[in-house]
Amino acid sequence: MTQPLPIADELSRPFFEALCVGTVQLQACNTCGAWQLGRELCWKCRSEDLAWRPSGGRGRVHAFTWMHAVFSPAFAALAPYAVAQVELDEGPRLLGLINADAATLKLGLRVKVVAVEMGPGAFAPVFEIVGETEQ
Amino acid sequence: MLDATIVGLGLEGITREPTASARVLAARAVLAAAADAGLPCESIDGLLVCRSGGATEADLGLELQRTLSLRDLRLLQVSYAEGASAIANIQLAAMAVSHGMASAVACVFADAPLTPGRTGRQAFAQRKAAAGLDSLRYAAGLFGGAGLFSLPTRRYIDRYGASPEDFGAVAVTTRGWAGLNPLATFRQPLTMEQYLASKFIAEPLRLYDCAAPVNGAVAVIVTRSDRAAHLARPPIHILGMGQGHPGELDQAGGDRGLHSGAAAARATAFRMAGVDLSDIDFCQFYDAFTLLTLTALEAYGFCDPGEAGAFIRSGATAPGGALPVNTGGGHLSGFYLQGMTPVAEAVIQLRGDAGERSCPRRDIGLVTNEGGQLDHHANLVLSRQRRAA
Repeated sequence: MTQPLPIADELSRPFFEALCVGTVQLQACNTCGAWQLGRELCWKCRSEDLAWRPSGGRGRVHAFTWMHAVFSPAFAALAPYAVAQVELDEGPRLLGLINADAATLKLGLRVKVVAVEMGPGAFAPVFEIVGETEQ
Repeated sequence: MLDATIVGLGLEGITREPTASARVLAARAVLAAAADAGLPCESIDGLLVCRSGGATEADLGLELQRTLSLRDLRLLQVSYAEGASAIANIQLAAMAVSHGMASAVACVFADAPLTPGRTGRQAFAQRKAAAGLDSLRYAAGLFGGAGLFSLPTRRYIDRYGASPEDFGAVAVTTRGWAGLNPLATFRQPLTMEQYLASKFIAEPLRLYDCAAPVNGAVAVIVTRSDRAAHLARPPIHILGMGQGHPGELDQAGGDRGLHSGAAAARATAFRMAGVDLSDIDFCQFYDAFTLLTLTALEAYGFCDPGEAGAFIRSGATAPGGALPVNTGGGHLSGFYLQGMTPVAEAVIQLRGDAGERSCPRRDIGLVTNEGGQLDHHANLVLSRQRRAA
């Protein structure tokens, strides 16, 4: 069984291209300035005038889980592994694997996004803990 | 004014084994529901179909009309509102018969995820064609509904200080009801110790926090009350119905996964039905995961936020309790046929066909569906009596 790989689509291509060079890009609304990810219209003012801009690539753990069950053989050697939903400082939330141990992982931890190559040319965000709960 | 009743119920092939295809199961369930109602199949003039998110139009769709050789239908549609599809279809049927757009509408859901050589987990792990940001979920190994629902479950625990026993109480209580239901998949007693010792699927979700896939189908027939009076079984009246779709975003400030549309749907349905919480004799909630029973009890106002675990641990929702909940064993221990599971159990209770699990008071029941990550809520207020004009 092959590793499930991230696949860019039209709406997300700049995000994945940025990951390939180790950066995080999000959409910013040229009308109202709101941040978002992978949307056609601004979530706040519904403008279609959106631009891709660099994110700080940092955020906090909004939710996480430890996956114990092996649904895909590609993850058999990894289980149990932690998956986090991270709220970036700009606002959008992002799913990814998180490097953590069971004793310390908790909601609110500060993390940074690291781009990891999961397959040839296919990068996904992985989270590294950088500090304690929200300042 | 709404004038709609459920007059037929068909349950087909509910099993953990491979079966005929979803479309064949659906056809059999529609025929069974018509026979149950005492209606010839030819009098069905509306067909509303829904299927599992993992199934396709080829598995079960508009072709069901031809499978059943139904001619000249006046209403035909496949509906999709994730887990809320089944009730959404019954709501549409209720409006259609109320206004004369159709006179006897079959609403059916069928699913056949279990095939020879494919286990339940493989069925649930099956990926939809995911591209773009959706593909990140699978790249991170966040599989199945269990993976998705473990995230809001963690946030619920963090927000309210809920204990493993709060979730265990849902699983144990629901299993207690299933033990009284011959149709239930898992009937052997479950203890809190067994719950706590069970393996994690997606921590904090344990094995018994999650419904297991089954093959099967459920159909109901909806008609107006004047038509129902001449049929085989006592009609179950749809007094009220509502929907709620919060539209929470995966962005800062969003509460997706914990904010249900239940409160909005309750307001609509209870106003239409002319009932309040104290009139509800029992609840049949959509409980694919234990979290959903807790959030439903709280969103409807039976408990304050964060208090549903204590409410269930008190025995209030168990056999003999003041508010029977998921009296057939729900999805968790009964059978996971998505939005139709709670509908079927409510009809069985209101007809007085529930045998030793019969609720002591069963005049008015609340039935709910929950779809997505609490994105789509739909409900019915059902009664043995037509609402006084």
